[in-house]
Amino acid sequence: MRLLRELGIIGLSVSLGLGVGAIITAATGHSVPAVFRELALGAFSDVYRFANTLMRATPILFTSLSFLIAFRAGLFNIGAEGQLFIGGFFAAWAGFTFSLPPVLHLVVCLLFGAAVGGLWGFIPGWLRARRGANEFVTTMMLSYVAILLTQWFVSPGGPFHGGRMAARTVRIESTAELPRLLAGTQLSWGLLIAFIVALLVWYFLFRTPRGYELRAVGQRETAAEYGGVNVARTQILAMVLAGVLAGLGGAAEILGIHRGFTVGFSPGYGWDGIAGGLIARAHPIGAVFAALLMGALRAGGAGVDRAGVAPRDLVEVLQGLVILFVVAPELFRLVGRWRLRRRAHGRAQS
Amino acid sequence: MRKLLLVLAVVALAATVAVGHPKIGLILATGGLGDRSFNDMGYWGAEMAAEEIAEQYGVSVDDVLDYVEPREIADYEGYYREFARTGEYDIIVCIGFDHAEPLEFTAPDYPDQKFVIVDDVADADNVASVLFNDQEAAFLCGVVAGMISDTGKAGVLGGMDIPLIRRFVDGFTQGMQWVDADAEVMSRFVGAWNDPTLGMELSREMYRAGADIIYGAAGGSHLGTFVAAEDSADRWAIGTDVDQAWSVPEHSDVIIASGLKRVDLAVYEEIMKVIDGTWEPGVIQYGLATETRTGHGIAFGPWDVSEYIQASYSTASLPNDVVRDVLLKLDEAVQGILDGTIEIEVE
Amino acid sequence: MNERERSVRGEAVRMEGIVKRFPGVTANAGIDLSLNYGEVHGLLGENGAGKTVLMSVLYGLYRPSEGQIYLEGNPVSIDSPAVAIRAGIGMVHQHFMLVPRLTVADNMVVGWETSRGPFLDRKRIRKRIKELSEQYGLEVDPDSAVEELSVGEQQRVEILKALYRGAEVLILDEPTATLPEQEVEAFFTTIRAMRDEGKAMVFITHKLREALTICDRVTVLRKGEKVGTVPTTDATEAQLAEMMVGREVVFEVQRDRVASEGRPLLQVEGLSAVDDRNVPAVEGVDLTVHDHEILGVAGVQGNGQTELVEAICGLRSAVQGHVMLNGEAVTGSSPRKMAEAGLVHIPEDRHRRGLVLNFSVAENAILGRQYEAPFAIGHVGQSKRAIAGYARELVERFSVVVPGVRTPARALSGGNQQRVILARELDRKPKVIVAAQPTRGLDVAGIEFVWEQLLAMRREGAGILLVSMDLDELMTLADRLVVMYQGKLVGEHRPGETDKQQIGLLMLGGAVETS
Repeated sequence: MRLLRELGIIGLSVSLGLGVGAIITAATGHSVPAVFRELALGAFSDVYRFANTLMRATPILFTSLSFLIAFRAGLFNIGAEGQLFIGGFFAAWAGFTFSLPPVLHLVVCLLFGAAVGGLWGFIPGWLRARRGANEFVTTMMLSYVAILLTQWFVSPGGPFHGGRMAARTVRIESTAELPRLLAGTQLSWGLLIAFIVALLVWYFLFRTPRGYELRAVGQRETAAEYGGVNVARTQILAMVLAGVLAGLGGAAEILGIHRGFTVGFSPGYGWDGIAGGLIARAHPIGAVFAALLMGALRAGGAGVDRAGVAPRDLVEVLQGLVILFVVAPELFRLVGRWRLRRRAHGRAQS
Repeated sequence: MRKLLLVLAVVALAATVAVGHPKIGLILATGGLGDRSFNDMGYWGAEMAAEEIAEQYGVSVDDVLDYVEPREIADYEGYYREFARTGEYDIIVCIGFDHAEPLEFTAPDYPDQKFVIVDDVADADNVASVLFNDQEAAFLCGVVAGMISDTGKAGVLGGMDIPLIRRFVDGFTQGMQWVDADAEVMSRFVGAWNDPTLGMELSREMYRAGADIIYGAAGGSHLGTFVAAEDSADRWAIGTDVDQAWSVPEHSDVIIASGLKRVDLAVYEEIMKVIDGTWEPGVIQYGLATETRTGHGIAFGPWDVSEYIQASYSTASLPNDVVRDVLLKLDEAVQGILDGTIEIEVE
Repeated sequence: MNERERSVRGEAVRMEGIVKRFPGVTANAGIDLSLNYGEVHGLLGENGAGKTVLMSVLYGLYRPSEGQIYLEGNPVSIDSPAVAIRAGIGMVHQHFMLVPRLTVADNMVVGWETSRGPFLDRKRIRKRIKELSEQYGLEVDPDSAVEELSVGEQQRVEILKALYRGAEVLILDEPTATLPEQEVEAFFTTIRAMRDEGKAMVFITHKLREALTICDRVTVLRKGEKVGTVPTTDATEAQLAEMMVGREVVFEVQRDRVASEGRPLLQVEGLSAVDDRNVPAVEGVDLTVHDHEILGVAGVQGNGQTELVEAICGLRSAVQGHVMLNGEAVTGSSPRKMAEAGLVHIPEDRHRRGLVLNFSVAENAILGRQYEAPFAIGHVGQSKRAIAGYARELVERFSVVVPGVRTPARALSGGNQQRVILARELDRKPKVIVAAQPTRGLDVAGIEFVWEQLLAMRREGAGILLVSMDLDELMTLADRLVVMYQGKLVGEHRPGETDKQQIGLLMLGGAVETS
């Protein structure tokens, strides 16, 4: 019942976003039917296009899960983009450094990405839990550190530059490649990993004592503390898991699609995860659908771009509008919560 | 004459058969159209070819040329597959070196599809890789800087610290020092091809440090160099890839020259090779010595450079004798490069 | 119109057949209420009886589903608080609606005169505040920031604000709930002064004694319906309680005093702790709770009771001192260790500590035991079935009124929320119970329930540390009584051997100077 209502709200929001988008499309002198036709065709018209949608949805699902697991603990992981980068880089590093048998190599690479992503979550988690540093700021700062660090790693003159023109590492060993799920498409087994991980996150949050404690901390720190929960440790755990999820997403993306780390591999998947997590109402199964929606928008956007019926800036405006309308109600709640927390914090300080 | 013959041929063709017309797929670099430089030139080249083909087959340019502006490197592979899987395109042109690796592992999936990549080598049996002797253009720009600089200092604003841009820096430095052995060249790297704000900051820094000429090799980012030059007295800029005094007319008064990289002609050339059946995969190097069907040196000829100097002369208000000296020196440099007495060393 | 005229003018407000429905609930089912100028009208009822909803309708916060409101005989439609204020109706909420950072004077005008024009005549404002405070005995400095004021002073500011805005009809929502005992009398003086000036006042409360003391007439609500309106001159406490609850209520606690002191269960020695601002709040407290004993801690709120309780229960680190539980040192143990060692805690703030409001009743039922079998299956699983079954059992045993255990705790009334907490904590068979203000905000039936439970635990041998602001509660329940003043314990008494005045004096620090 509640699900139906939420779906109704989301459906309405998507329509509203597209409606406003249509007005802007028309106002800027582009053909509304053509743009929307290409948007739909780009995302769904055949197996290849739908594979594109799923391919786009995969990293967004990882980062949405990353955002929402921290959010469930009352924390804001704004740094999924950086965790994605650093996880992706170290997965690639393990991919071109080690020589291992086929499946093992891939697993090691994925674990490397997850572990380093986890480290990137641990730092802000620890700073928040032990030093009270605002994780909103620290995750964002660390995100830039990760992006710039990996950018330097692979740029010419950096220690891991592949020796070609582009800012890229060398190619990973073929044993480390995450195979494509469908030949002739970019869709890799990363999608299935993402689905399984979403189920695991759901199980963890709603069917384990630790998940219970994590949610309790997120709902009411003081009550959780009263209930014998080690709040600091739980917050650190949540941030580590958030980092692991995003890092794993980066690893899957690099191993499955790019087969070597390259700076421009993410068109902002980490940021999409914030929207995805909010659209999903912080529910892991909801995140699957949120990621599909965002993936479809991205794939459809590429369709509009390709067909040349509208400039890509307009496509980006369309995507932004839909996301904005879907997220808006949750965003207001979020800002309210944020202010409440700040006020509570301020009181404790003064 | 050639043009006339073409037109006649087109008329003949259009009159007799309405066969399927060739199609061109163009995938630009992430900077996108509107950079008035690299991407735009790639587009012009493709457009020029498309116009010719369209005329030949009696169709519109839109029917012949499909192009996309990827937002991210992540988009590249999807576009190759999107174009290639249809089998409709006679050639798919990829503009920019960061296409190299994705193209390398995607092209083998479509062995019958012809690809062209500009600015790096993609090692696959169905790809033609177009390279330019950028260091030659940079050397000539360095000669111009050496002749005009008062401070004996110049700067290079690079997009990224990569071998391609290093060739610009090296060529420019050697060119300037060929004129003035004591000349000093500094360099800064923006880290992006589309950040004119940071480009402006870094340019200001170099101007303040005494450089009176900055050579922009940063795509859209060195549009900021022109702004920085406007802000200070007696500071000049040299553009890249296209005559920027013409493509960025609002700053033509500070752009004293531009080192050309005729991406347009190279793209045009490769497409037309497909049309006339002479296309071959492999590496094609375009430089001062290259002769092509368009008649003059495809990368940059002495004629091109001098033309820009002249075009810039009226607005940049350089004394006449200076311009004459520069032209003579440039001619000397070009001859030196062609006959091998000047060797440009790059990493 | 002068004051005299107003007071004889008679009826200020009449509410006729007010019905207010919320999805699934009818909060007010056809209520009539008449309010005269120069009257204090008590509105009495248990929590959830519909008192606040009815007054929110009058103040324009809710629109009635049915019914009509008349002001001085004229039908009106009050769509918003702004309309209510313009019509001369003011409301003092239970939770103050003041801006903590602003001064008293600024709070008077914020959102009111600031919306009228760009310039504020501060001099005039201050003068008017002065007049009003003198007239009604509402002493407060117009220039101090609200956040520096005591609860009593903030309440005065709220009343002043209403008066400043021209209120002739004042709604006071449980005004004494947050007031320390000592300030109640002064507050009543103000109320009387306002009545004599001809103001009409609605006094929402569930405290019978207060209603009888200050009100002229009392209207009793029960489950959204009006039970009746009676003049206080004719009413007794027992009669009102019966009207409220719907049955006879016994207030006298049947108890057997323990003659000799038993075994010490909880020993606190030289305990010191600081508050959230790092200011010393508890200084060298010694206390002992024996088996079969309730040790009461009296005191005005904010004298370190919260910090004392938290330091004992492991929620706050002690700066100094020891806590011994059943002879074993447990100082600095985590709340989890404490509970495992046999000490449970009924927290003073249900919403902040006791419950995770957005969790279901079932989830709340295992808060603190989430890692125990059968609720947890190792580290990797949780048995929803065991949790729900256990919650249902608790709900039944402790008569929690709730549609189902999957209902969020937020949806429960205060009394039922407290039942959930008591059920959860007492079911752990504790040796020691630290109960902080366990009946705060509860209605008569709720208080009765909590008292019974605590006394039952005492009978079974538990030692109970009872911290309360309610002196009556302490006098009724405690075997021994200590008073907390400025972080220290002063004086120890047996309730039978002392009287309220003496304790009250201690609570205000009266005895500190003499001792």
